[in-house]
Amino acid sequence: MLLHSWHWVCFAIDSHQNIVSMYTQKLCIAGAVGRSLKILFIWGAVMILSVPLFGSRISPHFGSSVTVAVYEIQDREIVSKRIEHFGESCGDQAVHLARQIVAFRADILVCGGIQRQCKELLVSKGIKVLENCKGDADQQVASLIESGSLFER
Amino acid sequence: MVPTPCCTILESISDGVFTIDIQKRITSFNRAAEHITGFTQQEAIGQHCFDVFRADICEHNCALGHTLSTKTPQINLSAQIITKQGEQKPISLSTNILRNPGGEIIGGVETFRDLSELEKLRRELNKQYVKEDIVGKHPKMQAILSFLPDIAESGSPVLLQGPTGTGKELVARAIHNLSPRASGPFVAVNCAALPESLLESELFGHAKGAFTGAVRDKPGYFLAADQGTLFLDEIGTTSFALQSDLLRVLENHSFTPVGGTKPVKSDFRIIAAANFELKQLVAKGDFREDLYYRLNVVTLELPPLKERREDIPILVDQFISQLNLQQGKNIQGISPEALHALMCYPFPGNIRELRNFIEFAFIACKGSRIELEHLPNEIAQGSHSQQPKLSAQDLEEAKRIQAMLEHCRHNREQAARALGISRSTLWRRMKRLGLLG
Repeated sequence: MLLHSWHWVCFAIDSHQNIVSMYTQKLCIAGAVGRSLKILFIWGAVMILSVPLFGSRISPHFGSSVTVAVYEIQDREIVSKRIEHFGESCGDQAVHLARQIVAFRADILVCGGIQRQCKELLVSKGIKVLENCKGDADQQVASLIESGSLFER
Repeated sequence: MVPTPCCTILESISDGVFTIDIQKRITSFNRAAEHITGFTQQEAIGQHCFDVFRADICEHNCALGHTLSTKTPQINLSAQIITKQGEQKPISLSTNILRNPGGEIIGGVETFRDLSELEKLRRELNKQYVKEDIVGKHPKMQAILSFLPDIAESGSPVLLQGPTGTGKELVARAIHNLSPRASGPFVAVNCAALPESLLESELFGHAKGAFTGAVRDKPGYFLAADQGTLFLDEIGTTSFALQSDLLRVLENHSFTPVGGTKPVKSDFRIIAAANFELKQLVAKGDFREDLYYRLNVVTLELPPLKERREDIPILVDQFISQLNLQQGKNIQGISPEALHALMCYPFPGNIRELRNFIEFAFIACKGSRIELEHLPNEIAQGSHSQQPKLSAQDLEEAKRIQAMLEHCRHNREQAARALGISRSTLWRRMKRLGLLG
């Protein structure tokens, strides 16, 4: 359901800027009810999602990987994918990787196991961390987009 | 179905054991493996071993892969795994191949042991503290903890301020161990512990013949901290003259040893600590303003324990587990009465004092739980006379209730009605806030 394909959107919000009701020409957008008004800015905006890789799979151990897949998602579709390579750090490799992910302004990290301190660091920078994921990276990202869980607050 | 003796043995041992097939999919997973990794048997079986075991060696140096390809066992390898809950655990592991009765290879087996407790003890003994050793739910501690990796990475000078016993050295060591200098030395110097003349030669080193007894060249702490971190504790106690020398060293990382002629360079990071606010010393003219601003790039204020009482139970648990390991005891916890007594105590000596109390209790306690009588007398007696300190919100509520009671001439029925609560709720709140007596 793409925001830019609608001619008009009408919505009502409560005092906390949560959407109470939302309509387009024909549809009542029930999925938006109860969400923050901010969700409107997510639709149509480019979201950057990063996945540390182990071959083509999601890396099971955050910090072991020196390769990260970076997906750009717009309107719930992958619009681009690139692979970033990071060098080894002389310090803590996991913290180094977390910093790299912060550096290219990722919105979401999809990963396997991640050290608590790295997760805290990423969350403190406003990055949503989806941990304990496994399997083929492309397939998992596609299924997360499909399920809508990427866009939940 | 009755389990085989082999299964019963595997389920009863404390080492984690799992087996895989040729495709590296888990075929069995014992109870200890569940406990160590956080994954249940149902979650693990059928999955690739690397997706469950999640060790740092899985991707580049897989032990089971090596065993399967070379048909040779691996013994006591070290690795770090990440549990389902995000805890990083050090383990030692061994692997071997599995064959069917016909001698054909059908997979591999891995046994692993959790070394977290041993590692904690080793860190404690070597004072190699990491961020996880700093515990606290208090917002100030949470803010410090979340900021710590950034500070560590930056390489900037750090000034730690807080009363004695609040864990300044622990934070300094954690910053060092998180930083790119972690493989370099951490040199801690207590400036108050050495007399002025000695401190200078200890910091900068001295040349042979510089003074009576200087029979050989001696490198100082600044040089010892090359490629590492120099922690200067109680920097506020240094003299004005030494402060100007420190300023010069911090500016160009170069200094001349006492009695020497050639300047020496050293690449160190400085972390300074003070028991009181250095700014006040600057205002009184007892500390050089330029040195203060040189050190005050990142300042962390460590709160006294009395301001973070909610952290006392966590700290008590941490000390009990550390002391159990150190002393080979098996104390399970602390009674509510003893914990309450600790919560009431003002702790002028902060966390160090709390640790001393728990250490004292370890001597006195012969059972499995620390009771009130195992704590020093000052705590046991204090618990009867002192009320827990109220938070700002509680004080506000106490004032409101008191004002309303006075307004209603101490008629609780009327006061409760005016406050919009029942009489029993008012009584409970008065009791909690210490307004009953």
